[in-house]
Amino acid sequence: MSEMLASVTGVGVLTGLGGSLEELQERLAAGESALSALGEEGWEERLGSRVEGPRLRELLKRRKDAKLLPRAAQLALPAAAAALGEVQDRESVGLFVGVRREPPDDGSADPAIAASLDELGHLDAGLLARKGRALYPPLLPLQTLPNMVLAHVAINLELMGPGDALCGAECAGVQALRLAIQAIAEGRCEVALVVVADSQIDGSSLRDRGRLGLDGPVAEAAVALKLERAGHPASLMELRDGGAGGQGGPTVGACQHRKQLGACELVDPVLELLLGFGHATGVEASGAWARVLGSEVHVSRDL
Amino acid sequence: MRRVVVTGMGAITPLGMDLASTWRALLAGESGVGPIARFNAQDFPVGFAAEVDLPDAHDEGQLKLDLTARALSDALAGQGLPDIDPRRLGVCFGSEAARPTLEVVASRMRTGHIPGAEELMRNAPAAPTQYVAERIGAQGPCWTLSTACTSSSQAVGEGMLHIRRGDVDAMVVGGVDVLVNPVMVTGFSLLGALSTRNEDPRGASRPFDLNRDGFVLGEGAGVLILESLESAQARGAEILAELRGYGASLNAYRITDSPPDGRGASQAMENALRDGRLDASEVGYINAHGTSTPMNDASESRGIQKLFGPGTGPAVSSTKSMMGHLVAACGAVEAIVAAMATRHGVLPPTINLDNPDPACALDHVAHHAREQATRHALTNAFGFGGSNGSLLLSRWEG
Repeated sequence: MSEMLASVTGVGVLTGLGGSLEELQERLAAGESALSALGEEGWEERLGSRVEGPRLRELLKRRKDAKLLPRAAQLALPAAAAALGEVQDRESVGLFVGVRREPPDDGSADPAIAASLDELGHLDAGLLARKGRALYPPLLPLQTLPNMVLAHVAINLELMGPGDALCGAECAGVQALRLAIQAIAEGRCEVALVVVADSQIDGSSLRDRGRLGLDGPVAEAAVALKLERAGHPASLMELRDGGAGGQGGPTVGACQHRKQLGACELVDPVLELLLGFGHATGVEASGAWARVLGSEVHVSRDL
Repeated sequence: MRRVVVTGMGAITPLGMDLASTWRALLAGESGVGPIARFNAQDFPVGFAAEVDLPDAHDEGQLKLDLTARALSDALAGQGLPDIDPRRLGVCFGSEAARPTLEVVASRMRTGHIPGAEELMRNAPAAPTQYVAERIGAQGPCWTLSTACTSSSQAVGEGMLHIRRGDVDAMVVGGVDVLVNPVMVTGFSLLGALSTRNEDPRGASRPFDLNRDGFVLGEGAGVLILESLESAQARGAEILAELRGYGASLNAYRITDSPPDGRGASQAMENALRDGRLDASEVGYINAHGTSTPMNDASESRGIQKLFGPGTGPAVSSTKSMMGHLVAACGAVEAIVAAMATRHGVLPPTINLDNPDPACALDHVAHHAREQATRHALTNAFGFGGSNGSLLLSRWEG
């Protein structure tokens, strides 16, 4: 068994079943479901769980930035703030984020494209330059960069330590967690924040899920963990690195909470880690669900 | 601590279809910037870019994979990979999502037709990473980093850390990006980030110059073969450079703006030096991020001045003056340039630096390459959103 490398000293969770881990656990245990028909055009009957809000006003340094935040960043910011809590030296806090790409083809540029089609319905670059450009959402490039969750969390929580954004479908969250564990263990930062957030309930995501053959209920969610040195007095759980793992291993198996929340593949492995479904100690069984593409993280609840 | 060395390097850039031709062009001070050939940009506010000369490059996702494939072949052409357990071989790549072609979007709007999963997977940020892993049979860590312009700098750095920690014995690292398309030219123009010097494309990218007005979109790919010193020595590989340090930081300032005090930049460089256990005075060259935007260059200069002291710093150049801004690929390609500079004792120039901005007072390598034996070099990459990465490369001296 490898060495314990980091303590979790803060947790932030935002799901369709509440804004904290405790509330989520209670409502899951009570058998409550957050699933309802999403009502998205073309997917009116599709079941999913939606996070109400969240309230961002108090968290933004510049309120005009609100329009820049993609949905994943809207979810990430409150979870990150809750996990971080009070920290004296924010300038040295590391930030490690797992992201799915924001959908580049989310429909917001459709009016610009529509104005750029020729008589046969083919795109004309000249029309795009002369007519479509005026309709193009100027902030779209910034809203669709994969590292916008990292950027908005860092800016608004004033974090200036090392930072990375991992991007790789469902494995990215656990990879971000592993990077953070290593950053703590190697002394690259004293405090590291891990943030994993995604929304799968918009029309573009549902369309892409259809292309991938993924059906069933969907979710949006965010999870954030504050990590500090192993054995920290405020430790909620200890993490150890299970090794680099291999490519092509199975991704998340049956996530118990999906029955009540729906699937959010990027967030689910980290959420499962916190919920510890079906694991007496978390250690022996953790490989079954945390073994993801290129990374493996073990958790212990036996402190 | 395990030492990490470079045993292979490959690049495809607007200056050349391989590293050798790119390096020759850099030393000759050539420009890879010209009128956009990929689409009719006549009516766009910006009609020039630094494109790679590939035919049939209309599908961005496929083009990314093509560029990755060529850069990988170039990197492997010399000494290949060590003959190791595939589980001890990993991949770490910096990339962003490719955009669906406008024809695909137009087709969806016109007919409702949505392409299958293959198009979606090909455009995913992780697609180049997966391509490399499959081609070389890597079964170790397989990671994709996406921090805009910092992506591949951080991919190189994290790859180094994987080897240093003992996770693997070798990593293929790098980055790729393709952004010269109507959507990105439109989007970046609207943000005011691009140079609009349409009358003089070759003079448009002018980092640190008083008359700079924005960056020039570029595209390309860079790949490095990293391995532990033990692995390289065991197979008798020629060591091209040592990758000695990696530092990262966040600006926590604004999405598109750089902090005027250069704090994030200096912090990343300082972290790289600390990681490499080197004093700033030992650095002879910095391949700067140097985008040619008013804010970046002033901020980076301030960061360099802060770390090295005014008037005493190392030689600085920005090769973006010649090959444009390769965005997610720039960190890897410019790390290769820094390694070449230490290996060959010659520093590529910043062209178009006719009137150095007093706010960017540095020891610029202006206009012409400079012969200068350099043991240690830093290379910087700073991204939209405020991510910073610095790499420390050293000439191999045994």
